[in-house]
Amino acid sequence: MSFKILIADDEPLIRVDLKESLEGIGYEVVAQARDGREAFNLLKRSNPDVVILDIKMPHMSGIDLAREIGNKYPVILLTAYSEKHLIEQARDAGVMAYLTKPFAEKNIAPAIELSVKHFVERCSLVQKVSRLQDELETRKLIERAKGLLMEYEYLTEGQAYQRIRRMSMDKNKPMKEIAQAIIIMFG
Amino acid sequence: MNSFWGIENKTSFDFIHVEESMAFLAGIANQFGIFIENKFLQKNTTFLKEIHHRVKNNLQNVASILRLQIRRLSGISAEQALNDSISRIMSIAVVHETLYQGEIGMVDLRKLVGNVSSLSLAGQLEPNVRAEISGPSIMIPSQEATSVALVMNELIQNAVRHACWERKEGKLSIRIEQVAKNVSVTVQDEGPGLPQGFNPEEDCNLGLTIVRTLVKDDLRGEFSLRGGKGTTARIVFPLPKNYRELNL
Repeated sequence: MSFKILIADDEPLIRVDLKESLEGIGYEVVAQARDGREAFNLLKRSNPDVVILDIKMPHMSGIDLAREIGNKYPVILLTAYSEKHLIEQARDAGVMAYLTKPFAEKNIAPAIELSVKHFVERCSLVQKVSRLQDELETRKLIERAKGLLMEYEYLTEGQAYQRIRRMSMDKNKPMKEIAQAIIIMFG
Repeated sequence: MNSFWGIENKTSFDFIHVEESMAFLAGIANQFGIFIENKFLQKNTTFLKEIHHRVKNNLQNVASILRLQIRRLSGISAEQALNDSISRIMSIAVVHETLYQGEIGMVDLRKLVGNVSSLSLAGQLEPNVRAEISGPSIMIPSQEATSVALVMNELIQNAVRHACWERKEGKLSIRIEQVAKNVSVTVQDEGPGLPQGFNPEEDCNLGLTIVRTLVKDDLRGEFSLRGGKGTTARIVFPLPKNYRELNL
């Protein structure tokens, strides 16, 4: 698949070579940056599918930038450094792949393809978890509100649920908000 | 007797005391020794790690230069492609040599241009090209020096190739200038000028690609190539603020 890529490296010849390598594989290089800060500023305008960063760059390192953008873009680090603490920092920053220099052209495409796939999966899981958390919280609130209605209004569980549901429909508000209002009123 | 014993006792007491003090001080000295050695080892380890990264980065640069050449092999012989690659790698080495000689963080542009031109002209029996370098010594940051060295190598190689069109001798004039915030380096040859219809912006040979990329992207400057009586190649790039003051 042809992805749009932003690359950042302070070594111009490495950057040109990387650009040509990527274009040779079939990707589109939409932006090139000389440092982390410039890459950050180019992100909005270029809207890449993947970001490839060197670690040691002036103004802002690749790891610092990955911390900022790691949840919005799949980030691949391409660096001469391979120390354990940097790999750990990259992992904690949400980096999707870590390639070391000197790089071989044949290793780039697999890293990009897998990074994008894993990033999409991660985003979908994050969304799913967030939705489930919200549903769980709503359910807890409704249970609490039902309990209060049963206690103060002498309703059965079914009646209490129906009351919350009807109020939600009448006021055109989600059941979560109705439940919160009941808890404030009786709690 | 008393005083004698007193003296003797005192001496004996002092002697023991001094021995203890000596042992104590020796212990401290040992601890200091170990501390200094550890610090030295730590510093050496950090230094070695940094060297290791630079070597890897330079190997990446070499690999990149070779890959850039591989993609542009049509129309040139294997010998020329390899010689051009070697001279690019050697021009990076010139910067390291200049840095190694103690100029930490900065490089003398005039010296760098002199070294690159000597390297480019060395071993060249025919045509016999002479380079005349003029202008002041200007200090530039070492990071930019690699780009300048690579660019100068390309401009000089190019000029040498075209400077002595069907002649056995030729001269290159290399002029370094500082005008306000900018530095300019001009390379002028005595060749036949640019071929008709030649557009340096569109030409995709590796030498000019390297020059355009490094001047525009790394030095944030401008590159121009003018024909006429000989060819004049000129790069102009801004000096960082702290270096402007340094070169006043």
